[in-house]
Amino acid sequence: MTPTYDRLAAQQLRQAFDTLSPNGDSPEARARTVAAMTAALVAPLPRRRSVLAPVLAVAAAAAVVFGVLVLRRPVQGDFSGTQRIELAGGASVALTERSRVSVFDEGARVLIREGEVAADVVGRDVLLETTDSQVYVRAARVKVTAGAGCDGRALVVVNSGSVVVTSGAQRETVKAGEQWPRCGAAVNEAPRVIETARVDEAARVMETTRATEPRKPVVMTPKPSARPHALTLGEQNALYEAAVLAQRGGDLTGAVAGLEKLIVGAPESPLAETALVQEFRWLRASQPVAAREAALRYLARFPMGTARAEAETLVAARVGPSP
Amino acid sequence: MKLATPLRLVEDMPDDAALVDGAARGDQRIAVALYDRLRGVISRTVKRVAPRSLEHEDLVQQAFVELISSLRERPTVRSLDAWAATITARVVFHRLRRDRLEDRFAALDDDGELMTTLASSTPSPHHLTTQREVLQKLSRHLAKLNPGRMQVFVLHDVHGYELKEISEILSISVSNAQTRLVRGRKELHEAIALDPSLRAVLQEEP
Repeated sequence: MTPTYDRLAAQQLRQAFDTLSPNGDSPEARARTVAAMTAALVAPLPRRRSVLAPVLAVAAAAAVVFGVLVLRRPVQGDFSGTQRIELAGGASVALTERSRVSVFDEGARVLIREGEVAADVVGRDVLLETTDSQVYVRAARVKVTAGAGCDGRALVVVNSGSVVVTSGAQRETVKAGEQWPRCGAAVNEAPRVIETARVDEAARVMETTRATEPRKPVVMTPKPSARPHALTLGEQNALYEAAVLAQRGGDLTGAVAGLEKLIVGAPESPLAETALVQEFRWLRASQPVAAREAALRYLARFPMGTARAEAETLVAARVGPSP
Repeated sequence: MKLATPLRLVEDMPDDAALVDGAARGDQRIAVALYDRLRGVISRTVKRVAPRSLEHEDLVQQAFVELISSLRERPTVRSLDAWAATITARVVFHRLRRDRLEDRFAALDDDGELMTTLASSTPSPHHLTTQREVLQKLSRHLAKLNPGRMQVFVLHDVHGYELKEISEILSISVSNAQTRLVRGRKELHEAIALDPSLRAVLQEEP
Protein backbone atom coordinates (compact mmCIF):
# COMPACT_ATOMS: atom_id res chain seq x y z
CA MET A 1 0.00 0.00 0.00
CA THR A 2 1.42 3.39 -0.98
CA PRO A 3 1.79 5.65 2.06
CA THR A 4 -0.17 8.83 1.86
CA TYR A 5 1.80 12.05 1.60
CA ASP A 6 0.68 13.23 4.98
CA ARG A 7 2.11 10.08 6.51
CA LEU A 8 5.44 10.62 4.72
CA ALA A 9 5.45 14.24 5.83
CA ALA A 10 4.78 13.25 9.43
CA GLN A 11 7.63 10.78 9.26
CA GLN A 12 10.03 13.43 8.01
CA LEU A 13 8.96 15.88 10.67
CA ARG A 14 9.18 13.27 13.40
CA GLN A 15 12.74 12.44 12.43
CA ALA A 16 13.69 16.09 12.51
CA PHE A 17 12.07 16.81 15.87
CA ASP A 18 13.54 13.71 17.45
CA THR A 19 16.97 15.24 17.05
CA LEU A 20 16.08 18.12 19.34
CA SER A 21 17.44 17.92 22.83
CA PRO A 22 16.55 20.01 25.89
CA ASN A 23 18.13 23.39 26.30
CA GLY A 24 20.97 23.76 28.74
CA ASP A 25 19.99 24.57 32.27
CA SER A 26 21.31 27.82 33.73
CA PRO A 27 21.60 28.35 37.50
CA GLU A 28 19.59 31.56 37.30
CA ALA A 29 16.75 29.98 35.40
CA ARG A 30 16.79 27.01 37.72
CA ALA A 31 16.67 29.20 40.85
CA ARG A 32 13.92 31.31 39.42
CA THR A 33 11.83 28.33 38.38
CA VAL A 34 12.28 26.49 41.69
CA ALA A 35 11.22 29.63 43.56
CA ALA A 36 8.12 29.88 41.40
CA MET A 37 7.38 26.20 41.98
CA THR A 38 7.77 26.60 45.73
CA ALA A 39 5.35 29.49 45.70
CA ALA A 40 2.91 27.45 43.64
CA LEU A 41 3.10 24.59 46.13
CA VAL A 42 1.98 26.75 49.05
CA ALA A 43 -0.33 29.12 47.21
CA PRO A 44 -4.05 28.65 47.90
CA LEU A 45 -5.63 26.63 45.19
CA PRO A 46 -7.81 28.60 42.84
CA ARG A 47 -11.41 27.98 43.66
CA ARG A 48 -12.61 25.20 41.45
CA ARG A 49 -15.29 26.45 39.19
CA SER A 50 -18.46 24.75 40.14
CA VAL A 51 -19.96 22.52 37.50
CA LEU A 52 -23.24 24.15 38.43
CA ALA A 53 -21.97 27.60 37.57
CA PRO A 54 -22.63 27.36 33.83
CA VAL A 55 -26.01 25.78 34.52
CA LEU A 56 -26.90 28.56 36.94
CA ALA A 57 -25.67 31.16 34.50
CA VAL A 58 -27.85 29.72 31.75
CA ALA A 59 -30.80 29.52 34.14
CA ALA A 60 -30.30 33.15 35.15
CA ALA A 61 -30.12 34.23 31.53
CA ALA A 62 -33.23 32.21 30.76
CA ALA A 63 -35.01 33.84 33.69
CA VAL A 64 -34.13 37.27 32.38
CA VAL A 65 -35.34 36.37 28.91
CA PHE A 66 -38.47 34.86 30.40
CA GLY A 67 -39.05 38.01 32.42
CA VAL A 68 -38.65 40.21 29.41
CA LEU A 69 -40.67 38.12 27.01
CA VAL A 70 -43.31 36.59 29.22
CA LEU A 71 -43.75 38.46 32.46
CA ARG A 72 -43.95 41.78 30.66
CA ARG A 73 -46.68 40.49 28.43
CA PRO A 74 -50.11 41.88 29.24
CA VAL A 75 -51.73 40.08 32.12
CA GLN A 76 -54.23 37.43 31.10
CA GLY A 77 -55.96 34.46 32.69
CA ASP A 78 -57.99 33.63 35.77
CA PHE A 79 -57.56 35.41 39.11
CA SER A 80 -59.28 35.11 42.45
CA GLY A 81 -58.96 36.38 45.99
CA THR A 82 -57.81 39.73 47.29
CA GLN A 83 -55.28 41.14 44.88
CA ARG A 84 -54.58 43.94 42.48
CA ILE A 85 -54.13 43.21 38.81
CA GLU A 86 -52.20 45.67 36.74
CA LEU A 87 -53.59 45.74 33.24
CA ALA A 88 -51.70 47.07 30.26
CA GLY A 89 -51.92 50.79 29.60
CA GLY A 90 -52.07 51.96 33.20
CA ALA A 91 -55.41 50.42 34.16
CA SER A 92 -55.78 48.27 37.23
CA VAL A 93 -58.49 46.25 38.91
CA ALA A 94 -58.64 45.30 42.56
CA LEU A 95 -60.34 42.11 43.68
CA THR A 96 -61.88 41.43 47.07
CA GLU A 97 -61.61 38.23 49.02
CA ARG A 98 -64.34 36.28 47.25
CA SER A 99 -63.82 37.72 43.81
CA ARG A 100 -63.13 35.61 40.79
CA VAL A 101 -62.35 37.09 37.40
CA SER A 102 -60.99 36.13 34.04
CA VAL A 103 -58.94 38.58 32.02
CA PHE A 104 -59.08 38.38 28.23
CA ASP A 105 -57.84 40.26 25.20
CA GLU A 106 -54.58 41.34 26.81
CA GLY A 107 -56.41 43.01 29.69
CA ALA A 108 -58.99 44.84 27.60
CA ARG A 109 -61.83 42.64 28.87
CA VAL A 110 -62.42 41.49 32.43
CA LEU A 111 -65.17 38.99 33.12
CA ILE A 112 -66.33 39.13 36.72
CA ARG A 113 -67.47 35.64 37.46
CA GLU A 114 -68.08 36.25 41.11
CA GLY A 115 -67.69 38.95 43.75
CA GLU A 116 -66.66 42.57 43.55
CA VAL A 117 -64.08 44.37 41.42
CA ALA A 118 -62.90 47.95 41.77
CA ALA A 119 -61.40 49.29 38.57
CA ASP A 120 -59.24 52.32 38.09
CA VAL A 121 -58.95 52.89 34.38
CA VAL A 122 -56.79 55.46 32.69
CA GLY A 123 -55.30 55.58 29.27
CA ARG A 124 -57.32 52.84 27.63
CA ASP A 125 -60.79 51.33 27.43
CA VAL A 126 -61.61 48.37 29.60
CA LEU A 127 -64.75 46.30 29.38
CA LEU A 128 -65.94 44.88 32.69
CA GLU A 129 -68.43 42.08 32.20
CA THR A 130 -70.65 40.04 34.40
CA THR A 131 -72.84 37.24 33.15
CA ASP A 132 -75.69 39.72 32.67
CA SER A 133 -74.13 43.14 32.16
CA GLN A 134 -71.30 44.93 30.42
CA VAL A 135 -69.63 48.05 31.71
CA TYR A 136 -67.53 50.10 29.30
CA VAL A 137 -65.00 52.06 31.28
CA ARG A 138 -62.79 54.87 30.01
CA ALA A 139 -60.94 57.16 32.38
CA ALA A 140 -63.13 56.31 35.35
CA ARG A 141 -63.09 54.67 38.75
CA VAL A 142 -65.89 52.22 39.14
CA LYS A 143 -66.92 49.33 41.34
CA VAL A 144 -68.84 46.41 39.83
CA THR A 145 -70.36 43.67 41.94
CA ALA A 146 -71.79 40.60 40.26
CA GLY A 147 -75.40 39.81 41.18
CA ALA A 148 -75.64 42.59 43.81
CA GLY A 149 -78.10 44.83 41.96
CA CYS A 150 -81.65 45.24 43.26
CA ASP A 151 -82.95 43.17 40.33
CA GLY A 152 -80.35 40.46 40.69
CA ARG A 153 -78.11 41.83 38.00
CA ALA A 154 -74.75 43.48 38.52
CA LEU A 155 -74.41 46.54 40.73
CA VAL A 156 -72.33 49.33 39.21
CA VAL A 157 -71.15 52.24 41.37
CA VAL A 158 -69.19 55.02 39.66
CA ASN A 159 -66.77 57.05 41.80
CA SER A 160 -65.29 59.25 39.11
CA GLY A 161 -65.75 59.71 35.40
CA SER A 162 -68.59 57.94 33.68
CA VAL A 163 -69.26 54.50 32.28
CA VAL A 164 -71.70 52.95 29.87
CA VAL A 165 -73.65 49.97 31.14
CA THR A 166 -75.32 47.52 28.80
CA SER A 167 -77.62 44.79 29.98
CA GLY A 168 -79.81 42.90 27.60
CA ALA A 169 -81.20 45.50 25.25
CA GLN A 170 -80.75 48.20 27.83
CA ARG A 171 -77.94 50.70 27.57
CA GLU A 172 -77.29 53.50 29.97
CA THR A 173 -74.62 56.02 30.85
CA VAL A 174 -73.80 56.13 34.55
CA LYS A 175 -71.93 59.16 35.86
CA ALA A 176 -69.81 59.82 38.92
CA GLY A 177 -71.82 59.48 42.13
CA GLU A 178 -74.50 57.36 40.46
CA GLN A 179 -75.16 53.69 40.58
CA TRP A 180 -76.85 51.22 38.29
CA PRO A 181 -79.50 49.80 38.27
CA ARG A 182 -81.80 52.44 39.82
CA CYS A 183 -84.59 50.07 40.71
CA GLY A 184 -86.10 52.12 43.57
CA ALA A 185 -86.31 55.29 41.54
CA ALA A 186 -87.80 53.54 38.58
CA VAL A 187 -91.06 52.77 40.37
CA ASN A 188 -92.16 56.36 40.69
CA GLU A 189 -90.30 57.96 37.84
CA ALA A 190 -91.46 58.18 34.32
CA PRO A 191 -90.10 55.30 32.30
CA ARG A 192 -86.51 56.02 31.34
CA VAL A 193 -85.47 56.18 27.78
CA ILE A 194 -84.14 52.73 27.19
CA GLU A 195 -81.99 52.17 24.23
CA THR A 196 -83.47 49.05 22.82
CA ALA A 197 -80.35 47.66 21.36
CA ARG A 198 -77.10 46.30 22.63
CA VAL A 199 -75.43 47.80 19.69
CA ASP A 200 -76.60 49.75 16.72
CA GLU A 201 -76.70 46.62 14.66
CA ALA A 202 -78.99 44.97 17.18
CA ALA A 203 -81.37 47.92 16.93
CA ARG A 204 -81.45 47.61 13.18
CA VAL A 205 -82.05 43.88 13.42
CA MET A 206 -84.89 44.36 15.84
CA GLU A 207 -86.44 47.03 13.60
CA THR A 208 -86.20 44.64 10.71
CA THR A 209 -87.83 41.96 12.78
CA ARG A 210 -90.69 44.20 13.70
CA ALA A 211 -91.15 45.22 10.09
CA THR A 212 -91.14 41.72 8.69
CA GLU A 213 -92.75 39.74 11.43
CA PRO A 214 -95.87 40.45 13.38
CA ARG A 215 -94.18 39.09 16.51
CA LYS A 216 -94.18 41.46 19.37
CA PRO A 217 -90.65 42.20 20.60
CA VAL A 218 -89.76 40.90 23.99
CA VAL A 219 -90.46 43.54 26.62
CA MET A 220 -87.28 44.30 28.51
CA THR A 221 -88.72 46.97 30.79
CA PRO A 222 -87.41 46.88 34.31
CA LYS A 223 -90.68 48.12 35.69
CA PRO A 224 -91.19 45.95 38.78
CA SER A 225 -94.92 46.06 38.68
CA ALA A 226 -94.90 44.75 35.14
CA ARG A 227 -92.68 41.78 35.89
CA PRO A 228 -94.34 38.42 36.22
CA HIS A 229 -94.29 36.63 39.48
CA ALA A 230 -91.26 34.53 40.22
CA LEU A 231 -91.63 31.06 38.79
CA THR A 232 -90.98 28.08 40.99
CA LEU A 233 -88.47 25.49 39.92
CA GLY A 234 -91.26 23.10 39.05
CA GLU A 235 -92.94 25.72 36.88
CA GLN A 236 -89.64 26.42 35.13
CA ASN A 237 -89.16 22.73 34.38
CA ALA A 238 -92.74 22.41 33.19
CA LEU A 239 -92.39 25.41 30.89
CA TYR A 240 -89.20 24.08 29.36
CA GLU A 241 -90.62 20.59 28.93
CA ALA A 242 -93.76 21.97 27.31
CA ALA A 243 -91.67 24.05 24.92
CA VAL A 244 -89.63 21.04 23.89
CA LEU A 245 -92.74 18.94 23.34
CA ALA A 246 -94.32 21.73 21.26
CA GLN A 247 -91.22 22.01 19.09
CA ARG A 248 -91.17 18.24 18.57
CA GLY A 249 -94.82 18.41 17.63
CA GLY A 250 -94.08 21.04 14.97
CA ASP A 251 -95.56 23.98 16.93
CA LEU A 252 -92.62 26.36 16.67
CA THR A 253 -94.62 29.40 17.71
CA GLY A 254 -95.87 27.65 20.83
CA ALA A 255 -92.40 26.34 21.57
CA VAL A 256 -90.80 29.79 21.31
CA ALA A 257 -93.56 31.31 23.39
CA GLY A 258 -92.94 28.74 26.11
CA LEU A 259 -89.23 29.52 26.12
CA GLU A 260 -89.98 33.24 26.30
CA LYS A 261 -92.17 32.70 29.33
CA LEU A 262 -89.33 30.90 31.01
CA ILE A 263 -86.68 33.48 30.00
CA VAL A 264 -88.73 36.47 31.09
CA GLY A 265 -90.37 34.82 34.07
CA ALA A 266 -87.21 33.31 35.52
CA PRO A 267 -84.23 35.22 34.13
CA GLU A 268 -81.93 33.81 36.80
CA SER A 269 -83.06 30.27 36.21
CA PRO A 270 -80.39 27.70 35.43
CA LEU A 271 -82.55 26.91 32.41
CA ALA A 272 -82.48 30.49 31.10
CA GLU A 273 -79.28 30.07 29.12
CA THR A 274 -80.43 26.75 27.69
CA ALA A 275 -83.77 28.31 26.74
CA LEU A 276 -82.10 31.19 24.90
CA VAL A 277 -79.83 28.81 23.03
CA GLN A 278 -82.72 26.56 22.08
CA GLU A 279 -84.68 29.56 20.88
CA PHE A 280 -82.13 30.70 18.32
CA ARG A 281 -81.46 27.12 17.28
CA TRP A 282 -85.10 26.36 16.68
CA LEU A 283 -85.65 29.61 14.81
CA ARG A 284 -82.49 29.34 12.75
CA ALA A 285 -83.93 27.22 9.96
CA SER A 286 -87.31 28.87 9.44
CA GLN A 287 -86.95 32.41 10.84
CA PRO A 288 -83.33 33.53 10.48
CA VAL A 289 -83.98 37.16 11.39
CA ALA A 290 -85.71 36.17 14.62
CA ALA A 291 -83.01 33.61 15.25
CA ARG A 292 -80.38 36.31 14.86
CA GLU A 293 -82.23 38.51 17.30
CA ALA A 294 -82.36 35.65 19.79
CA ALA A 295 -78.65 35.06 19.30
CA LEU A 296 -77.92 38.71 19.99
CA ARG A 297 -79.97 38.54 23.16
CA TYR A 298 -78.09 35.42 24.17
CA LEU A 299 -74.73 37.12 23.61
CA ALA A 300 -75.81 40.15 25.57
CA ARG A 301 -77.02 38.04 28.45
CA PHE A 302 -74.30 35.39 28.41
CA PRO A 303 -71.24 36.96 26.79
CA MET A 304 -69.10 34.08 27.94
CA GLY A 305 -71.77 31.42 27.49
CA THR A 306 -71.11 27.95 26.20
CA ALA A 307 -72.86 28.65 22.89
CA ARG A 308 -71.05 31.90 22.30
CA ALA A 309 -69.28 30.80 19.14
CA GLU A 310 -72.46 29.37 17.69
CA ALA A 311 -74.39 32.56 18.44
CA GLU A 312 -71.62 34.77 17.02
CA THR A 313 -71.61 32.73 13.83
CA LEU A 314 -75.32 33.17 13.52
CA VAL A 315 -75.12 36.91 14.11
CA ALA A 316 -72.35 37.30 11.58
CA ALA A 317 -74.20 35.30 8.92
CA ARG A 318 -75.89 37.15 6.09
CA VAL A 319 -79.62 37.27 6.77
CA GLY A 320 -82.05 37.20 3.93
CA PRO A 321 -85.81 37.73 4.04
CA SER A 322 -87.74 35.18 6.04
CA PRO A 323 -89.22 32.43 3.95
CA MET B 1 1.98 10.77 24.57
CA LYS B 2 3.98 8.00 22.94
CA LEU B 3 7.36 8.36 24.55
CA ALA B 4 10.53 6.55 23.64
CA THR B 5 10.35 4.73 26.98
CA PRO B 6 7.23 2.82 28.00
CA LEU B 7 4.72 4.56 30.19
CA ARG B 8 5.67 4.37 33.82
CA LEU B 9 2.75 4.00 36.11
CA VAL B 10 2.88 6.11 39.23
CA GLU B 11 2.35 3.04 41.37
CA ASP B 12 5.45 1.40 39.90
CA MET B 13 7.64 4.41 40.43
CA PRO B 14 8.01 5.29 44.08
CA ASP B 15 9.95 8.40 43.17
CA ASP B 16 7.20 9.70 40.94
CA ALA B 17 4.55 8.63 43.41
CA ALA B 18 6.36 10.50 46.18
CA LEU B 19 6.65 13.58 43.99
CA VAL B 20 3.00 13.49 43.05
CA ASP B 21 2.00 12.94 46.65
CA GLY B 22 4.21 15.78 47.81
CA ALA B 23 2.78 18.13 45.20
CA ALA B 24 -0.75 17.16 46.21
CA ARG B 25 0.06 17.98 49.84
CA GLY B 26 1.78 21.25 48.94
CA ASP B 27 5.14 20.05 50.25
CA GLN B 28 7.74 22.68 49.32
CA ARG B 29 10.58 20.20 49.63
CA ILE B 30 9.67 18.42 46.41
CA ALA B 31 10.19 21.52 44.23
CA VAL B 32 13.85 20.87 43.47
CA ALA B 33 13.37 17.14 42.97
CA LEU B 34 10.46 17.70 40.62
CA TYR B 35 12.45 20.26 38.67
CA ASP B 36 15.35 17.89 38.23
CA ARG B 37 13.06 15.04 37.32
CA LEU B 38 11.06 16.83 34.62
CA ARG B 39 13.20 19.66 33.37
CA GLY B 40 14.38 17.66 30.34
CA VAL B 41 10.88 16.60 29.33
CA ILE B 42 9.47 20.06 29.68
CA SER B 43 12.32 21.83 27.94
CA ARG B 44 12.28 19.39 25.04
CA THR B 45 8.52 19.73 24.69
CA VAL B 46 8.80 23.51 24.59
CA LYS B 47 11.41 23.24 21.87
CA ARG B 48 9.21 20.90 19.86
CA VAL B 49 5.97 22.85 19.95
CA ALA B 50 6.87 26.48 20.57
CA PRO B 51 8.21 28.84 17.95
CA ARG B 52 11.63 30.27 18.64
CA SER B 53 10.15 33.72 19.08
CA LEU B 54 8.75 32.73 22.47
CA GLU B 55 11.06 32.86 25.48
CA HIS B 56 12.06 29.31 26.25
CA GLU B 57 12.81 29.68 29.95
CA ASP B 58 9.62 31.59 30.59
CA LEU B 59 7.60 28.79 29.09
CA VAL B 60 9.51 26.18 31.08
CA GLN B 61 8.87 28.03 34.31
CA GLN B 62 5.21 28.53 33.53
CA ALA B 63 4.87 24.86 32.62
CA PHE B 64 6.31 23.82 36.00
CA VAL B 65 3.92 26.13 37.86
CA GLU B 66 0.96 24.81 35.90
CA LEU B 67 2.11 21.25 36.48
CA ILE B 68 2.18 21.76 40.25
CA SER B 69 -1.27 23.33 40.21
CA SER B 70 -2.62 20.43 38.18
CA LEU B 71 -1.04 17.85 40.49
CA ARG B 72 -2.50 19.56 43.54
CA GLU B 73 -5.94 19.50 41.97
CA ARG B 74 -5.75 16.12 40.23
CA PRO B 75 -3.00 13.99 41.74
CA THR B 76 -3.87 10.75 39.89
CA VAL B 77 -1.78 10.83 36.74
CA ARG B 78 -0.76 7.65 34.97
CA SER B 79 2.60 8.89 33.75
CA LEU B 80 4.38 11.92 35.08
CA ASP B 81 6.38 12.37 31.85
CA ALA B 82 3.31 12.24 29.63
CA TRP B 83 1.41 14.53 31.93
CA ALA B 84 4.25 17.03 32.06
CA ALA B 85 4.47 17.02 28.26
CA THR B 86 0.74 17.58 27.98
CA ILE B 87 0.75 20.41 30.48
CA THR B 88 3.72 22.00 28.74
CA ALA B 89 2.06 21.85 25.35
CA ARG B 90 -1.06 23.32 26.89
CA VAL B 91 0.93 26.23 28.26
CA VAL B 92 2.55 26.81 24.89
CA PHE B 93 -0.70 26.72 22.96
CA HIS B 94 -2.35 28.96 25.50
CA ARG B 95 0.39 31.49 24.91
CA LEU B 96 0.05 31.11 21.14
CA ARG B 97 -3.68 31.78 21.37
CA ARG B 98 -3.12 34.76 23.63
CA ASP B 99 -0.55 36.22 21.26
CA ARG B 100 -2.56 35.24 18.19
CA LEU B 101 0.22 33.03 16.91
CA GLU B 102 -1.84 29.88 16.40
CA ASP B 103 -0.34 29.26 12.99
CA ARG B 104 3.20 29.27 14.38
CA PHE B 105 2.95 26.26 16.61
CA ALA B 106 6.19 24.53 15.84
CA ALA B 107 9.87 25.20 15.47
CA LEU B 108 9.58 24.89 11.69
CA ASP B 109 9.19 28.59 11.17
CA ASP B 110 12.72 29.18 12.44
CA ASP B 111 14.88 26.41 11.14
CA GLY B 112 18.16 27.85 12.35
CA GLU B 113 18.65 25.79 15.48
CA LEU B 114 16.75 22.83 14.14
CA MET B 115 18.92 22.73 11.07
CA THR B 116 22.07 23.06 13.10
CA THR B 117 20.98 20.15 15.22
CA LEU B 118 20.08 18.14 12.19
CA ALA B 119 23.43 18.92 10.60
CA SER B 120 25.28 17.50 13.55
CA SER B 121 23.37 14.27 13.30
CA THR B 122 23.06 13.97 9.55
CA PRO B 123 25.40 11.53 7.88
CA SER B 124 25.97 13.50 4.67
CA PRO B 125 25.74 17.05 3.34
CA HIS B 126 23.42 15.85 0.61
CA HIS B 127 21.05 14.36 3.13
CA LEU B 128 21.12 17.55 5.18
CA THR B 129 20.28 19.62 2.11
CA THR B 130 17.42 17.34 1.19
CA GLN B 131 16.03 17.35 4.67
CA ARG B 132 16.30 21.13 4.91
CA GLU B 133 14.44 21.43 1.62
CA VAL B 134 11.76 19.04 2.75
CA LEU B 135 11.28 20.84 6.07
CA GLN B 136 11.10 24.23 4.43
CA LYS B 137 8.50 23.07 1.96
CA LEU B 138 6.52 21.33 4.62
CA SER B 139 6.72 24.42 6.78
CA ARG B 140 5.26 26.51 4.00
CA HIS B 141 2.46 24.02 3.36
CA LEU B 142 1.58 23.75 7.04
CA ALA B 143 1.46 27.52 7.33
CA LYS B 144 -1.01 27.75 4.46
CA LEU B 145 -3.42 25.12 5.71
CA ASN B 146 -6.03 25.38 8.45
CA PRO B 147 -4.12 26.11 11.69
CA GLY B 148 -6.54 24.19 13.91
CA ARG B 149 -6.23 21.05 11.79
CA MET B 150 -2.50 21.37 11.39
CA GLN B 151 -2.07 21.75 15.15
CA VAL B 152 -3.81 18.45 15.74
CA PHE B 153 -1.96 16.79 12.89
CA VAL B 154 1.45 17.82 14.22
CA LEU B 155 0.61 17.03 17.84
CA HIS B 156 -0.76 13.61 16.97
CA ASP B 157 1.17 12.33 13.99
CA VAL B 158 4.49 14.07 14.63
CA HIS B 159 4.76 14.49 18.41
CA GLY B 160 2.76 11.43 19.37
CA TYR B 161 0.13 12.96 21.63
CA GLU B 162 -3.07 10.97 22.02
CA LEU B 163 -6.37 12.53 21.11
CA LYS B 164 -7.35 12.77 24.78
CA GLU B 165 -4.15 14.68 25.49
CA ILE B 166 -4.73 16.92 22.49
CA SER B 167 -8.19 17.70 23.75
CA GLU B 168 -6.56 18.83 27.02
CA ILE B 169 -3.92 20.86 25.25
CA LEU B 170 -6.21 22.68 22.84
CA SER B 171 -9.29 22.76 25.11
CA ILE B 172 -11.42 20.98 22.55
CA SER B 173 -13.40 17.77 22.66
CA VAL B 174 -11.88 14.45 21.69
CA SER B 175 -14.30 14.08 18.80
CA ASN B 176 -13.38 17.55 17.58
CA ALA B 177 -9.71 16.61 17.76
CA GLN B 178 -10.44 13.46 15.80
CA THR B 179 -12.31 15.38 13.13
CA ARG B 180 -9.52 17.91 12.84
CA LEU B 181 -6.97 15.15 12.56
CA VAL B 182 -8.76 13.36 9.74
CA ARG B 183 -9.38 16.56 7.82
CA GLY B 184 -5.89 17.85 8.50
CA ARG B 185 -4.30 14.70 7.11
CA LYS B 186 -6.49 14.89 4.01
CA GLU B 187 -5.75 18.57 3.56
CA LEU B 188 -2.00 18.07 3.82
CA HIS B 189 -2.06 15.05 1.54
CA GLU B 190 -3.89 17.00 -1.13
CA ALA B 191 -1.54 19.96 -0.78
CA ILE B 192 1.55 17.79 -1.16
CA ALA B 193 -0.03 15.95 -4.07
CA LEU B 194 -0.12 19.26 -5.91
CA ASP B 195 3.58 19.88 -5.20
CA PRO B 196 5.56 17.56 -7.54
CA SER B 197 9.00 18.41 -6.18
CA LEU B 198 8.06 17.79 -2.55
CA ARG B 199 6.14 14.71 -3.54
CA ALA B 200 9.17 13.33 -5.31
CA VAL B 201 11.50 14.06 -2.41
CA LEU B 202 9.17 12.52 0.13
CA GLN B 203 8.87 9.39 -1.94
CA GLU B 204 12.64 9.17 -2.27
CA GLU B 205 13.34 9.56 1.41
CA PRO B 206 13.56 6.32 3.38
